[in-house]
Amino acid sequence: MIQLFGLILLILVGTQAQAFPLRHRIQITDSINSLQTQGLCFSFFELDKSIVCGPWASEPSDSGSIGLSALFKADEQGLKIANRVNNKDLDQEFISDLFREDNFHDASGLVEAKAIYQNLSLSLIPLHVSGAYKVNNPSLPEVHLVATNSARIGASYIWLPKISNAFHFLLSPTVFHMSTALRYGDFTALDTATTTFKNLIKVRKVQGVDADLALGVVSKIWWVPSLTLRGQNLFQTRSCLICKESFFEVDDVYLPQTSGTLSWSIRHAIGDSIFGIALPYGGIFEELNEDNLSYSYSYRLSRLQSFVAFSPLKSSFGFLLNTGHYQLGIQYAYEIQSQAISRSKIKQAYVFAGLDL
Amino acid sequence: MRLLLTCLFALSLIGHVSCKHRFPDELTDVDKAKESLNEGDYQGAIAILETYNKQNPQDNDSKTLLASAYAGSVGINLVDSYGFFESLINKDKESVRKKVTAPEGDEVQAIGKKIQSFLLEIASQSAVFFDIPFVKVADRAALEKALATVGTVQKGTEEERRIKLYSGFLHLLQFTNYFKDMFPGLNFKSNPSGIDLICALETQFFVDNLNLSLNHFEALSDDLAFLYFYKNLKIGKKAIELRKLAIELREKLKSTSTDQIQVVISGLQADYCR
Repeated sequence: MIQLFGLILLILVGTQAQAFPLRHRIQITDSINSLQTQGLCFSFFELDKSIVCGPWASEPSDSGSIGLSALFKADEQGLKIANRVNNKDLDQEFISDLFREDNFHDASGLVEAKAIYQNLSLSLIPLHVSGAYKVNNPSLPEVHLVATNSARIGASYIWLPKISNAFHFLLSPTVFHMSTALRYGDFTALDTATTTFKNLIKVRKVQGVDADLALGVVSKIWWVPSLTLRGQNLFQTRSCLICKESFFEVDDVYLPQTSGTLSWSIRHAIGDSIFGIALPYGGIFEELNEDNLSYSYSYRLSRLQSFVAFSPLKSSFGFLLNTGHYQLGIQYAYEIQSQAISRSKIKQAYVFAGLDL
Repeated sequence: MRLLLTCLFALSLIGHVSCKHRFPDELTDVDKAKESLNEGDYQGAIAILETYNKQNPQDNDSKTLLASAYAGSVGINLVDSYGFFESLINKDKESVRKKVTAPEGDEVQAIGKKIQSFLLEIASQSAVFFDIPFVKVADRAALEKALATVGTVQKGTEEERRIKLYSGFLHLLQFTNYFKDMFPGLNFKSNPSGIDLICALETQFFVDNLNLSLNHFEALSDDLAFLYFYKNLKIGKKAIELRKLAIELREKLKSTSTDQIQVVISGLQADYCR
């Protein structure tokens, strides 16, 4: 317990000491739960009457299931702007407001087909897209755009052997093939007047086979945390994809990442709680990603779940309704993008839905 | 134990809350200036960037930002002017040329001929030159500052090549506004012809504003000519001819007194404005 206390204090002290440059981050959503918990849990499932914070989006299913998921994350204002730009319905008031209030928006969407039988899960994601824009300076406008499009097919297995009455070991490897196209551009109005749009956008494509791995210890004692170590894109050899060429941070999702999580789950008389800390690292535990260090708390009562999560760049709270076949959720977030002068300016509300058949 | 963990968790939340005010302090000066520009606070951006540029004279991108802040502070921005800006680059001048025939058999003094040629040429590009935002005389100093800032961008760099187009735009603004000052009372929204310009000339306004407008006209032509060789912009080729015309006019007027100019203008108006 003393070591745990020391670890938590160390995390707090470490948080206070950080300082870092920042570019705009793109949230590439692959799981409603990971978005709500800011990386702590990707799924929730029951194990011997305890709630487990799952390392992947698929939880084990004894009876087997086939699922089709559609997930879309965007805020309403961003959709309105995209619609107006698409219809070329632009007026002076809209342009002024665009720079003042809506100079950054991002969105992502995903379609996934899954087949789960006991501890084995097969997943096909034919479409996983995300995009963002940032505009600055109405006097001499500069525009930054990024869009990603991925397809992925993979298989994962989750193994939970019992160590004792109170603990299970967790091991979950995933093997997959993924292809990704990244398109990005950073230009000013001067460039658009002299260069075709096509030539202003750069493209980077990558594809290959890779693997993820999660291992850890699941605790059924409420005051003993479950520990999970998670590694993504473990065999990716590139050091970066867009690197620093773009205004946006997108490399994180496609490069080797590891994380450690500590989570406590408590079964109350009414409902369940899970709270915990996620420590993300770049590479194979090479460098702590202080931007994304997060702690979150979730309370679940029957089909409704509520979330509160904090990280240095984002504070959020949200709700999720899970009927078993579909999920519907909302998240309100205060995010720091481009080191905003006033935190309240970067206020986003996301609405997302998932459908499992 | 439960209480201890609860306290630790609460501490971590408090620690986070106390952290949140750190990040605004870490804004770079250029980021702060961009935020100000997004807010429409041009004076705030100018104050930040003027100080920054003094400390970082090698940063060409921030000079462009400062120039745009000067222009934005007097209401000039590429959001409003983008259509015009794009047409400046891509316009086919032939589509707006208005045919003017000089009276047959009349002798026109050399100076008058140059003035006539210049005015006819400008009028033939009326959709380019006349549909330009009006800038009050008091606000033109801000555009001069913008041009001076642009002029400090390091020569031979990629930033200098990029900024030429913006520099040309600013020179065009200044040229057209000083040019229009030569014709007080003339309604430019009706796209006046070269003859209309000749007939609306008033000597004193012409003398007071011609040099100012020609300075900017030559600089505009320089920028467009540069872009012709660098980006093969169509109007760049025409710009070389216009520059030659402007230089010839200035040469002719160099040693001409106001009284002589009055005589020339009266002669032109007698020929065209019966």
